[in-house]
Amino acid sequence: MISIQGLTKHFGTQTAVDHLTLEVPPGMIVGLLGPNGAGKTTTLKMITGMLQPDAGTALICGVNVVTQPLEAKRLMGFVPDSGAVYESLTGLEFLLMIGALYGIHEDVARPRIRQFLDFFELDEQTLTSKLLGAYSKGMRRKVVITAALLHTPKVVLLDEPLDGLDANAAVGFKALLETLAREGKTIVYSSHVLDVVERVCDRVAIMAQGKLVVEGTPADLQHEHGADTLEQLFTRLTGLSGLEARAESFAKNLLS
Amino acid sequence: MSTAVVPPPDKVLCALFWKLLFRGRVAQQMGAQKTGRQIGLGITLLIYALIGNIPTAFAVNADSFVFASVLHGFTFSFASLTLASNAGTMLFMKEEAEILLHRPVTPHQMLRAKCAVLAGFALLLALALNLAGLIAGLFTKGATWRFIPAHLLSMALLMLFSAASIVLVYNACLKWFGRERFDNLLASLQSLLAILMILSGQIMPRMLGLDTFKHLENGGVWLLALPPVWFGALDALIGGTSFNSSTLWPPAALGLLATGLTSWLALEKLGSAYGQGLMNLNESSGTVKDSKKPRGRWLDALVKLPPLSWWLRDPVERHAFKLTAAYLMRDREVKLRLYPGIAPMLIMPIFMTFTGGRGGKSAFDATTMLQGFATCFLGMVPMQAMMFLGCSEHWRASAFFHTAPLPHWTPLFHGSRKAVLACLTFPVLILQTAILCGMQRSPAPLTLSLPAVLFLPAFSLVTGVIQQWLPLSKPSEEVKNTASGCLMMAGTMAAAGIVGGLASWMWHIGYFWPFLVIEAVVMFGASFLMKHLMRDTPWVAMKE
Repeated sequence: MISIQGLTKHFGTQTAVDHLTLEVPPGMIVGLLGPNGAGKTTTLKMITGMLQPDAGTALICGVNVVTQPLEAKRLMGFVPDSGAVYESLTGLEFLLMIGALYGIHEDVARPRIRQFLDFFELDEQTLTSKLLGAYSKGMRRKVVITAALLHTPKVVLLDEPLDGLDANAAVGFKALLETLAREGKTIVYSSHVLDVVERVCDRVAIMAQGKLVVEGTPADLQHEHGADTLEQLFTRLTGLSGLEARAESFAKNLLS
Repeated sequence: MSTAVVPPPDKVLCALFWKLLFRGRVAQQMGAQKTGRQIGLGITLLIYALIGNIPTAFAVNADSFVFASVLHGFTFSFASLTLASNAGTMLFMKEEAEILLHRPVTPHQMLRAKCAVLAGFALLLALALNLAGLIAGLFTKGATWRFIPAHLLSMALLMLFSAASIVLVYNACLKWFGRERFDNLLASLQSLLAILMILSGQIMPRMLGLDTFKHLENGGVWLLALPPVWFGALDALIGGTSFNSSTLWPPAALGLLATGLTSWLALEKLGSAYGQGLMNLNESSGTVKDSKKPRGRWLDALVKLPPLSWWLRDPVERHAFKLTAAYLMRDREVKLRLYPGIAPMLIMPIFMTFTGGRGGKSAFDATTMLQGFATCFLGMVPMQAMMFLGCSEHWRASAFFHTAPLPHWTPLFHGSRKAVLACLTFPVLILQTAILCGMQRSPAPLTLSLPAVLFLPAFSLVTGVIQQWLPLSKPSEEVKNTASGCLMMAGTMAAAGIVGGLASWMWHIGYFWPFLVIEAVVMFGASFLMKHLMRDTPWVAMKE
């Protein structure tokens, strides 16, 4: 469903993504993990066609993102970590506009939006009367997720999707992802929250300094690297060891 | 997917950008918001319609070609100026890449839609500006009833040319400059465009004088460099003129050619750079500029030195000063909105000097009159700056002001106000006075700038009297709420005009120094009163 071969991106002298190769089959939720600056967001931006790769290819359901961007974009939905929206539009205006860009008529979009509204327990009056600039972070995130799923994409790419969501909404959203995967959707889930990734994802891919370090099921990877938890595996593979000792020493210095 | 007819993406994008251009988010209730916006737009159109009466004075005894060129000159400067100040923020919204670039729309489609909306907006302003001129044009030499459709057509072409030129300049810079330099370049470009449009649109025809148009018939090919002349020639060819039509064909053809070529270059040839530019802007949003040197050291040193250290004794004021100064120098949004708005205020009086000298007035009269005029414009600088600096895309960070144990908001206001005075208003005054002294070859402008030195600090207090003012504390869109903004600016300009006019008159009749003493007393009293009023305005909690 997603096929990435040798994907590379440079920013000046810095290599953000270095010959990344990854296959994500249909019906699978893959967690994309990595410390800050590992290249996760850049990878997602290249897969979504927002950034032009310097080398390599990305195929979405066999459609090349670089040579057939519009066709590929129709197949996917993306939740960016910024949660950016047009803040001068109401939630409903924004969602109808996004729907129209995917060729969804208003008559079809409205009931779908209502379904999301019910699911996320969003107030209809808020959606129609308040401008997005006045929404809370969580409400805005719900609108962004709705905008990504409105056209029922085959591939869903999520960059820190739970950021801002309350606990109830987060639980509901995780269940929704699992259902979507069972229905055959391909999902890439990029996050720093390891326990959520461990619980939701079938496989994980850990990146560091633009390269794919490991890829597999959490259980297999933990077994293979002798780690008890995904967190332990992550800190071991990304070279950030001794964090607890450092934190303890820092806190003691701060309080002394 | 639905089989029902869905508007094509181009139309959806046009509707989106049109809505974004006209809508702010002052109120949380959309109904109230829409009303505010319509009043704001209505006032803007009314002001444009009133300004449009000025060129009708040229209609008497003028040929239709000359009159149409003057009208286009006005349109080019005023409508295009508004266009230039809106274009940067519309074309390069920082987060837009993350909203639209992963959707099934191409950067070309986005650019075309934005250009169409910009041209449409400019056309709306141009229509208001040309309303009186359209009627007056019927009474010019050689004009027939066809003058009206001809002028409407040429006006539409002129606005398309303006919008395409602006987009072309931005796209060319995107293509040829890296992302690190583009952000800063954008603000400079917008200011430069604003100045250029004033120069080529209004000031140049003024400098030339109406008789100069007759040179076109005598081979004055340099006139062909002026876009208003191209479109004026088109008017004359369709609507009738007393000029020899063979001399008008070259400028008219040049106008059509320039419009077509500029549009093609902006939208098609260089349009491919647009998507990359949006993405670059998004990528650089958090990092700004990769520098290893510590920032703001000179500002730190400056506020510790007299006279700033005496002026900024309150630590909260000092930090608000530093915050505002940093935003004035570093923030892309402030630079994009503020400097293009202020550039014409600096440039207009200077070019008025240039043109005024030809009017046959004595040097003395010209200087004093000009100084009064310059004063009107300078009065708006602190007002406009404070209006812009009250809003920012980082407005949510103002929560820190609300959570900090501050007894009142006024130290934050005064710190920012002093930054506006020290970093912007007084440097503009000094620069303008120095240029005027040089141009007049007289120290008189230096003395005549003293009334401004006295009233500018007082004027900078006005925004704090109206309501609680915190730096960078409101969403950026609120600055677009032109209804209150227009009224405040008009009031300020009138007050500054009165002071400037009185100063000029007092200079003329020999009572300048006593006037200055009286002005000092009045301004000191007004400042004291305004500060007192501010102290009585309590903290208002954040709305969200």
